Amino acid sequence: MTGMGHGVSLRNQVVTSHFVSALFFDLAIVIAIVALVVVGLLLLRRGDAAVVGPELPARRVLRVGTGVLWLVAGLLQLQTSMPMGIPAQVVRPAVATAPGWASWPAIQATDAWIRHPILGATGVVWLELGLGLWLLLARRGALSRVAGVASAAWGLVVFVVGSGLGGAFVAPWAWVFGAPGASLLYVFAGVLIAMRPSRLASVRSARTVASLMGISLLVLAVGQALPSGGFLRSGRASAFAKMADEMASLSQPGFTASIQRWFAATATHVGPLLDVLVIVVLAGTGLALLSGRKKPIAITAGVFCATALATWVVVQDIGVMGGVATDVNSMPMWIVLMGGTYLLVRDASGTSDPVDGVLDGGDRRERMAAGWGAVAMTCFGAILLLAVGTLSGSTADAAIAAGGQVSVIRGRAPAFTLTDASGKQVSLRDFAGRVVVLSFIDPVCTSECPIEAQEMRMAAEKLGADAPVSFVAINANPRFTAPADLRAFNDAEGLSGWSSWTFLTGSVSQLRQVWDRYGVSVSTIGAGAMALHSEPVFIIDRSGNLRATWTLASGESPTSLEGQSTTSQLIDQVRRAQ
Amino acid sequence: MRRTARLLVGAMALMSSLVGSAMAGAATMSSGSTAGAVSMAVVPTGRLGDPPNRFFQTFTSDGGGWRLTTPRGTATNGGIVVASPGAGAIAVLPFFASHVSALVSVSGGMPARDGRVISPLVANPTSLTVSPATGRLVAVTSTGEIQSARAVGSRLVRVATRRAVVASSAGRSCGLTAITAAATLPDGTLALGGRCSRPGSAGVLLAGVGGRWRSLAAPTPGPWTVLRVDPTEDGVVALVLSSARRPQLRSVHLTAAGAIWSRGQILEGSLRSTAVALAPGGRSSHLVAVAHRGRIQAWRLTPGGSVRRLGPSLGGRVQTIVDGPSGTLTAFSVDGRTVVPMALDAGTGRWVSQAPHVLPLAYGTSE
Repeated sequence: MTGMGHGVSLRNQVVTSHFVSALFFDLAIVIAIVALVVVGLLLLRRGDAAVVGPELPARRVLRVGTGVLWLVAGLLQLQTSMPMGIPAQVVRPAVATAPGWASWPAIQATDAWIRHPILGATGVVWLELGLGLWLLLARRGALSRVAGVASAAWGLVVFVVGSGLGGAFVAPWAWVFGAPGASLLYVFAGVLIAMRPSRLASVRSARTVASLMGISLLVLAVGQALPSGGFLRSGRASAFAKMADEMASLSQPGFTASIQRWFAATATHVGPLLDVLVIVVLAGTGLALLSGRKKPIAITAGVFCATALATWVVVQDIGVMGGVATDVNSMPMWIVLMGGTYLLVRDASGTSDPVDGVLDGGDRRERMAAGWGAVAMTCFGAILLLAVGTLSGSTADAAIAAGGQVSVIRGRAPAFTLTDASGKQVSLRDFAGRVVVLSFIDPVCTSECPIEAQEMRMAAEKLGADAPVSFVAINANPRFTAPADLRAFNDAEGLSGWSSWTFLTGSVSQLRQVWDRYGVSVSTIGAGAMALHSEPVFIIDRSGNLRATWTLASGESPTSLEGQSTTSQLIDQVRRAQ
Repeated sequence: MRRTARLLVGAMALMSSLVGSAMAGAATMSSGSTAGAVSMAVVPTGRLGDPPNRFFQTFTSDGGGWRLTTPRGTATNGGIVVASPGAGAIAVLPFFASHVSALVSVSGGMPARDGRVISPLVANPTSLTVSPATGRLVAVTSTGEIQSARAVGSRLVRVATRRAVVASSAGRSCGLTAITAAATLPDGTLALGGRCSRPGSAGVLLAGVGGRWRSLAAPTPGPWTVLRVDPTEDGVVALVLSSARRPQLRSVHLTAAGAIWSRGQILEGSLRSTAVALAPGGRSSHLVAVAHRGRIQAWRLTPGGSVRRLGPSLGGRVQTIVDGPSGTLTAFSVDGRTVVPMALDAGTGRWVSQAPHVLPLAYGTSE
């Protein structure tokens, strides 16, 4: 190779194929489980048939709106780019600039996801589809309220783990760009759905919800107006317009791109006026909600929803165009919440405590059975996700996606005696009783080698300091062969103090003998190319027998998708050989 | 787990573009060096706007034609610095994931023996120098050390640290923010070039008696950055760049008698889209090639302070201009794998193309 440019494709053929197969397999299981639950409940004739009173309009809007949005999110999870795209292009960028305490859950989750990407992606599909159906089918009773709890809980997981607290650390924090995070809005809606309808219908609840919404919008108006948010910069074109123009360049249907370009052109002429308009709408709606008066709320809620809709189209790109779209973004949920809030205020009864049964009777039996079926689907998805977090090792998906198909090999590992960085002679037999991870590293390689060394160190850290494992690297450059070269590399990479690390070199003839025995091709060409060498890694067990080999894939950094796959693959193979 | 993340990242990039613009870096790693009968040119080739597929090459001439002399076994994407083309060393700068520099001894411009690995060098054409008078090697590392060796093959040891120089009275008075170049004067004095943040200081620091540093006053407010420091028979010559509102590129010749600043202006307009290639010319002069708006013009800055235009400006893809050992100015035009040296005919004042070199390296394989 002359340059660099590695990277696992989001639509890696093997991963895509595994993902689709897993979905079909899961579908069969889901159908069986749901059918069993539904039929079982119908046969048992369980379910409260005492249908009483209509559902609160506000609750219906929140429940149906949230349910539909979860369904759409679940359908978006069916995209074949999800297994590889979620950690690399969604979660990690969202926490890239977050402090450690905020990024820790996301990093733990993506670490687990990368080990089992198919399991993770399919789990989210069934969980979100199930959640959506659950909310839509269970209209009344405890089953419906628990759906609200489940929706809020999953929203919270997504907020904390999936979006880095709603992208709060990815500046600028602005309403038009999705602040405070769509998932937080799902949490709020879920909490409202989970409330007893009698309590939700009270004047007090309506005022509380309106006040919370009002305060939130005022805070967002301030955030939108702050210079750090990037708006209201005098003398510059509207940031709103620039964002729309940027969005128009993403891959999407022509008509949406046309709308965005038209908007960007128009917005450029009016400068920051649109930014001011957004701030006024947010602040005005917030104040109206705080006033608690129905008419101003009705008017401002309408203006707010229209603004949110326009923003969704021209700035948020309908949430699903281009990139790895995991949901429809924040604006539809804002509209649902605003609709629900307005209806709550409008319909708030003067009585403080209506009889529960009037508003919260049970569903008919058939509907309840179907609701339980959706619950089963949700649980199935949740179980898959729990498995992602608890299963050790690495599934083959990650390994293949990272570019290395592990080959199981058997036979005695070819012996060698070379010189380490301190000038001491070291033989393979010196590592008897320990698992050896044997790699070939070029000390002046600018691309994979330094990253691979870090991946091995990360693997060693995760295996534990007491693990009987040695990481042995053999020099793969015939031009830089002195022990001092290895020391410089070790110093630069922070490997000098790592007791399990041994970097070996020798004369070119000694090295070539080892390269040949292990089937490593090494060559140099002129004109500024690095030493060209294949990059196999071998796992040698405690008895000196070869156990597995594959080609290391480094990625752009040790923490990249490929880098983490390689690390988890190393750990898995070492554990198998122990 | 939202697409919001992508939106926010995009917004962040947008905002950062609004915040302001950093001054474009002026000095490229294109460079050349002449010592005795040997000249060496460092020429970027391949896909120049795509660093993973851009490789710096060394071409050497000992009076005849130019030969490709890039060392084998290490990627040169990060750049090459030439300490001394005759009997000295060249170093390959770190790139991407690499955190080391590869040092290769040269003899007659050709890699003499296998290389060795040293601390990463600062990306500047004189971050590695060999004193023609003493043979001492000096290296400026990005880890904040100034290292020195008795000779090219000897062990490098730390002789100063950036922190100590910055904390010295001279460093504080100029507001030193970086050390970019080093040289050893004939009397053994260590000269450092750096970047001063305070107006009126040129960023050239000399280690005087007792290891005390002294800085040089600049004729106009800065801030000034030293692009290159080279020893001369009677002192040191430095090429310095002011990145103020009206950028200036000047040379300053330091001797025991004082400092002589070059006169005249060779930069046009702002530094945006301007690349500066530089090389020491004969007789303590400097060659400077300024690329601006698709054309490149060579200038000679002399120790006496004069600024002289060399030949007509060149269009196209000229990357490096270097003084040949016979005093013939050579420009290198690059088109992917093909490098064409062009010599300036002293009689006609025109550039004359020589035999092209086709590099044995395929570009674009990283895609």
